[in-house]
Amino acid sequence: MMKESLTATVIGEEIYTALVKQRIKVSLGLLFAMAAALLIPQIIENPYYLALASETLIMIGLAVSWSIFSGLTGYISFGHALFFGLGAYTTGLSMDKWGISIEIALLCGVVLVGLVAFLMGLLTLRLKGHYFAIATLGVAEFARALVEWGSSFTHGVFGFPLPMDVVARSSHVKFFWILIVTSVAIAIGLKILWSSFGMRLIAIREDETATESLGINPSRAKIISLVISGSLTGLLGGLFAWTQGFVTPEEVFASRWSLEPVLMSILGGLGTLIGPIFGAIIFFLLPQVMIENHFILEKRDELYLVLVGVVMVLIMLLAKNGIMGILQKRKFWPKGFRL
Amino acid sequence: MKPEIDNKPSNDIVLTVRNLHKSYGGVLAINGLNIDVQKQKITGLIGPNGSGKTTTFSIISGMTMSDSGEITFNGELITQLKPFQISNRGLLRTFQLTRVFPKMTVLENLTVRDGFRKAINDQLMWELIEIVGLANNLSDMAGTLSFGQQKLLELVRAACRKPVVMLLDEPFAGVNETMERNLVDFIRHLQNERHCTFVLIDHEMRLMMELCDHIYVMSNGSLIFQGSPIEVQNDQGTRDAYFGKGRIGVSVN
Repeated sequence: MMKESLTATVIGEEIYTALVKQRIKVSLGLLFAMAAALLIPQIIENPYYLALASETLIMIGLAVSWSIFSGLTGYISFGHALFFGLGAYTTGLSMDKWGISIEIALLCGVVLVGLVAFLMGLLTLRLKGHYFAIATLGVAEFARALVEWGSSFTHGVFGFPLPMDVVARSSHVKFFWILIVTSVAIAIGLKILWSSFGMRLIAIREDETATESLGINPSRAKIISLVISGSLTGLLGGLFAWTQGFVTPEEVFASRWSLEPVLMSILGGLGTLIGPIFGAIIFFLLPQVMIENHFILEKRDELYLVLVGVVMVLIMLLAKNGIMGILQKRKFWPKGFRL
Repeated sequence: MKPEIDNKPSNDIVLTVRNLHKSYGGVLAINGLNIDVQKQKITGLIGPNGSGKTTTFSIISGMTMSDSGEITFNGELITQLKPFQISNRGLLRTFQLTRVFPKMTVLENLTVRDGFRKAINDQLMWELIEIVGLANNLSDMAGTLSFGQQKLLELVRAACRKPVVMLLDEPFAGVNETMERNLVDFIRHLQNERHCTFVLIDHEMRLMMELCDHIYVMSNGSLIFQGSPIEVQNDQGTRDAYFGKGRIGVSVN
């Protein structure tokens, strides 16, 4: 029955070596892209375009953060606006109330959002499928209502401005912060995707019962993933508040922060980490550039939304795995390599 | 031999089920089931469809809660444990319909728990891959394998965890004769070389009679007979459960 030499080991080692080589290539490529992005403020002088670049990076970070949880586990969250808004509010309020620096305020946001994500995980991750999605939507709306209601502490529906000295900091500094956080989100995402922890999350997405039968605690894995995803989203929310200089519940708890990462991830390739980056660029940046150059109607809310709808329907019909699915079919990377 | 409860502790018994009950609404799925599984033996669980075999597996593996009863594994009460805790104690199961991760490669399926870096030094895993002939499929998506290969993959995936007891739910269902023989050889290999204990559910009586050391027969949630394969074959109650009363000249062999 047994062969003399274990050819399986040889084949396995070959596969592993090829994977490591691919990972190094991708990591170097991303490092190069980040280095190139560092030059953006030097190239772009127009503050509007720099703000657009910053917001694009936030959208990329948001889509990647969302994918760390929902993309990998298959538990579709419609509640990331909760983490985004809470991050923005914690960052803003801790500076407003205690006069701490933006760096410490951002850290406060990460810690609090991480804690809330943990509690939300305990509360909602017993549910599956649509029930989970609806529950997350409900929790996000509840948080928004709570912030609007707690006017004495949160300043209610009118929101509040961030301290002038923080807002007045150079847009270059803000851009670098956003670039670093987004890069960290991508690095963490890929590190997870390529680790045994990431494999466990994907296994949960594939078949949770079978995963558990292999001795993996799915609840623990899902909660850890949600906490990481939520914390990064909260950090991006804090940075968004910083770029805006003003925080209102309507702005930072808006449903777009829940829905757009979903759409960007579907567009780029649900379940991948690099796909949402393409998704964010195409979904967010491309229409903005087109509007600027009068390729489509100037008013974003009109033809833009119609186009988004048409594109999403086409993707669902023609390329269910999004951009990454198309690239995978054309064999841009070896079989079994995850991006 | 009619089923009797033996409460005497034995070093040879690795898994015991005592007075297990489970009902779904008004339907009694399991009614006072008692089973003893001997170490390094292959125990069969047979019975017509709907007799409660898979429910028994689901309860033993922690995936379904029983209404009452006790399950002891290696001397420890596991009735209240979660499936992953039971699995980590060395009691693993496979499923009636294979549950490989279809969009993960064969290698990912096998290394999902501990990661590739750790698994690469796991000599057992490579050996088992070699034995079942999946070496050339390592980078294939599990969903693209044939049904029989998926069964083997599921079995290897569980076997890599060095289980003490494996619960195999219809391992031979839907596989061709060549694959059937591969599965039998592999089960025998795990039993003899890896000292693994098996509990098998299957309707393939020829193979059950060949493989099993002891067989429990269930009908309508209750145990109706237990004994060696020969005794089971000769038991009229078992024949009646499968073929109905009043039939003559039928054999389960």
